[in-house]
Amino acid sequence: MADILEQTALLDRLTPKQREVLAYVSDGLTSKEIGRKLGVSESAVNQRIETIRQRLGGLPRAQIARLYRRQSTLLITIPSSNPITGKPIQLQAGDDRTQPYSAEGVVDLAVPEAGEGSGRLQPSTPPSIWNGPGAVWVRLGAIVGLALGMVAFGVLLLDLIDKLSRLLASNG
Amino acid sequence: MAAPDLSLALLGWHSPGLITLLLVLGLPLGWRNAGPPEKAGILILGSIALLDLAAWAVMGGALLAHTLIDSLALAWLVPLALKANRHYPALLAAGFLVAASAQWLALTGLATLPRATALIVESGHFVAALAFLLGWLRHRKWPPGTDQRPPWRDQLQRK
Repeated sequence: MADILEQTALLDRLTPKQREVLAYVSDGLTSKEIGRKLGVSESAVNQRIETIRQRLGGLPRAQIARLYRRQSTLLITIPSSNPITGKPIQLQAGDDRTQPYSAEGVVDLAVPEAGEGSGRLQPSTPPSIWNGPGAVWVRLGAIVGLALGMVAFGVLLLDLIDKLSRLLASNG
Repeated sequence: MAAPDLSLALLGWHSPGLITLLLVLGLPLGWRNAGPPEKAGILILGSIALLDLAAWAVMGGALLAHTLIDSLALAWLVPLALKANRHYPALLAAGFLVAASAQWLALTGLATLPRATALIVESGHFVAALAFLLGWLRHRKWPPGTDQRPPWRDQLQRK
């Protein structure tokens, strides 16, 4: 835990430009892709990454990317014991077990490791109704609902156009 | 005085003007800065526009050809809407659902008002094109670190 805090503090010492490069690295982009996004050459990006690596104690590229991701996903810290009563804090049975809890009591919204799946590092977000287990049905419902809404709107619009046409014809 | 023609058919997807505009402007401009779902959307809409152009060239405004093309577009867009970690593909698919349904109803003789059917079809296409354009504009270039969402939904569930 102390190591994480130490390394996170090191990240704060980076310049905004270095952090921008690091954000792209943590998104799994290659140096060539980062260079294209920033409008600089691939070698310039590699040079910046090398500087970042040196500032972070010579850590490899994948590790500095993981470090950056960890820093941006450390959301809530639960102490392992109550600071007033000293009693250990137990997690409730109804808690979301999809979120892993580390021994230190840190809730870490874990992300796929490098090389897993598509091989790209991806940040994670808590699953919502739009992305959760029943998301397929929610999304299908949204598509059908939107389509029905459009049809209803179309019918009303056609009715309005029809009435307007009749009105103009009768006036003429 | 004759009643003015208030048909919105001029906005139609099936008019070569809009198709050409999408092909000429949409693909080259959109591809470079687009995320994976946007690239999939560009590929689908580009293919549909090409097929539509071919249908226009070979069969003119044949309803069957355009109905099949719209149904094909719907079949491609629904999986995109289900997989992509975005909201706008749902609206895109809904637009094509309306257009394809109206054309099938016209083809089977259940929709008997040609102008009304044309209006609903073209409105569906217009909403779909607008949804894609707005979605692409929103997602084309996120500043680093501001978008914490992966492009595809499946990656969220892989834990």
